[in-house]
Amino acid sequence: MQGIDYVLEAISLYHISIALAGVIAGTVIGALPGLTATMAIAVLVPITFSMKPASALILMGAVYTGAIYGGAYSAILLKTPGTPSAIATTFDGYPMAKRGDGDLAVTLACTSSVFGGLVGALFLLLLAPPLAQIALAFGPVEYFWLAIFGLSLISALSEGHMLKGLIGGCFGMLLTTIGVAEVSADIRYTFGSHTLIGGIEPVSALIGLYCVPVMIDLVATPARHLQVSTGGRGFRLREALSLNWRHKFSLLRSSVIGTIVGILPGAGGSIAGLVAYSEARRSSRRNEYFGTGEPEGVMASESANNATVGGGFIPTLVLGIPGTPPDAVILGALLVQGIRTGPKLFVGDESSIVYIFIAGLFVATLLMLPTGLLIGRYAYRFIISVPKAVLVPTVAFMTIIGTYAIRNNMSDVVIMIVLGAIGWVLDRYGFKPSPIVLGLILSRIAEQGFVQGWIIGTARGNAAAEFFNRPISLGIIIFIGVSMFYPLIARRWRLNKDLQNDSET
Amino acid sequence: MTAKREYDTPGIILAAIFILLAGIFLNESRNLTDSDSYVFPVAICTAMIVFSIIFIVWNLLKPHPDKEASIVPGSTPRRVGLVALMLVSALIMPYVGFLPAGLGVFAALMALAMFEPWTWKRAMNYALVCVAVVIGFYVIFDIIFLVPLPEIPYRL
Repeated sequence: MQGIDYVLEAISLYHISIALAGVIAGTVIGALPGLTATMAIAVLVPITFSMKPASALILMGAVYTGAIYGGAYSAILLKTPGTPSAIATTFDGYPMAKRGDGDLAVTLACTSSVFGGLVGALFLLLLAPPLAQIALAFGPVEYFWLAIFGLSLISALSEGHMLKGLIGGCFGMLLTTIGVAEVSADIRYTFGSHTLIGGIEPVSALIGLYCVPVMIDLVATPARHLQVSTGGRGFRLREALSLNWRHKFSLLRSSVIGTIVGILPGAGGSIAGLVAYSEARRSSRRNEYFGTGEPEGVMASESANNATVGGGFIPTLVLGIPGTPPDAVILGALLVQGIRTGPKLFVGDESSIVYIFIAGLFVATLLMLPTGLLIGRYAYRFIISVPKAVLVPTVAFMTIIGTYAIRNNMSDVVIMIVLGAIGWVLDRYGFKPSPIVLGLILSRIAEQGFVQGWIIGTARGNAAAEFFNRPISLGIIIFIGVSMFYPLIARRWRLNKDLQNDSET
Repeated sequence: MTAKREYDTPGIILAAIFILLAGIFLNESRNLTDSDSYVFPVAICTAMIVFSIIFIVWNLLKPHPDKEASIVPGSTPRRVGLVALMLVSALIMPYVGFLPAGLGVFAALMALAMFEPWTWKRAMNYALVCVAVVIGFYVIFDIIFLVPLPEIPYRL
């Protein structure tokens, strides 16, 4: 009966009110490029000191889950991920918006985010202690292979220019090597410039590479930013739910991937979205349409990134190791409240805090459906109805101030604009921005894992064995191989089948 | 009649630039003494050079013109103007403060992105929008999120 008490406590008017406020605030903040979930939660921390621990956790969890979803708006409508977690959402969300299906993409992102969030919360409720052990099994080499798994998406995102995609991926990775080295902390590749010592901030770089080229093209012609469908089509909720149902296994797989990646400290929503997208593409019958506005791509990315919320809380609450950056802030807030995280938190006297919070997380995730749909509808209407002379300066201003806010550094803004202009030129000649962004986002994890694995392997006398002899690494390597070559094999298989059918007829 | 051989010339030039860039990074790597600092970038540079060379050779042997890289529609001065105005705003903001720089650049960007004729009514409305958006961003970032936006370096 204790379980019912926790649920009743979570659905009290007070907790529903703070969850609703948190989801709305998080969604709006997440939609603004540069403002991250971490920043939103950090701002809220002082407010939570006067709250009970469970209420504080519900508020922070609601802001977190709302912010991860909010990132989808700008990813779909402006091709600029509001948060890094929404990178993979741009791949199909923006093409959908361009062809007039932006409303459907926003609704689909909302329903998929809710589904992913619920799966993540369910894992947190039922399997937290055993799943937390998975996080401990991941060493530097496994992180390296996980990053390479994400990079294997380059083959899918190169749009027929595989070599250009690979060169772009290398360019993105090279950019992240500028500044302070990941492991040794050497200053490298700054070429004497003080501006470059801080390195190239990945989020500001991705804002530049995705958003500035869109604005450059937007300002050049009087044409509308997005296609507008004729006639009111409402939220298109029925259509979105029907797509969710049709791709239910893909949705579930993406949510589970998101939860597991969320458990891994430091991996986060961007990797979850990318890995889930890659898997959805590999297993889809319509994989050749991914990147051109395939709804399944939006579903995979959004369900996975919201599942990381519940997944990230697993190591945070069970081991005291934050799974994602916002979890680190939440962990700090809990420590200030005198809560000791650990396995005993789930069974000891303080277990009520955890279970009320988990019930609250379910409530917040469910509240995201009506709020997300409403905010999404207004965001879509705003973007399609606002005159270009207002849209261009507003978005330009948003990118400038959002980039500045990441490190309070105007150099990041200059780098963002310059990279955006370079990205526009490269895009014109077939070097697409997505492989460059993949390189930027995954390079740090890859380098850290690679160098640490290499040091450990060298110390043991066999560096290669360190990378290729560990069971989890081998599992990920197999997935990488399948992910990279399955589309080629499947295409050849289909061609052979078509040829056979032709010869039979 | 033989078909004209069309090369992806811009792609080949960009690949050559990437080789040059990787070469510069490789050269800079020689100044690093700790192998932990250069092992990964050197691997990336090597991969970038190899991919770029394969791309160039493959294109020279079997030309693949990039069909997408056609003439870009729209106004080039407006494109250049957008990037220049954004850069100007980033460069002057620390010296003149967020609000004056923001208002000025926002208004200039509005003018740049305007394709319809200006009327007094439209100008007044857009001026109000400009002030509202800039002050709105100021409130969200500076007052709510405590982001230290560049201040006006003088007292009025």
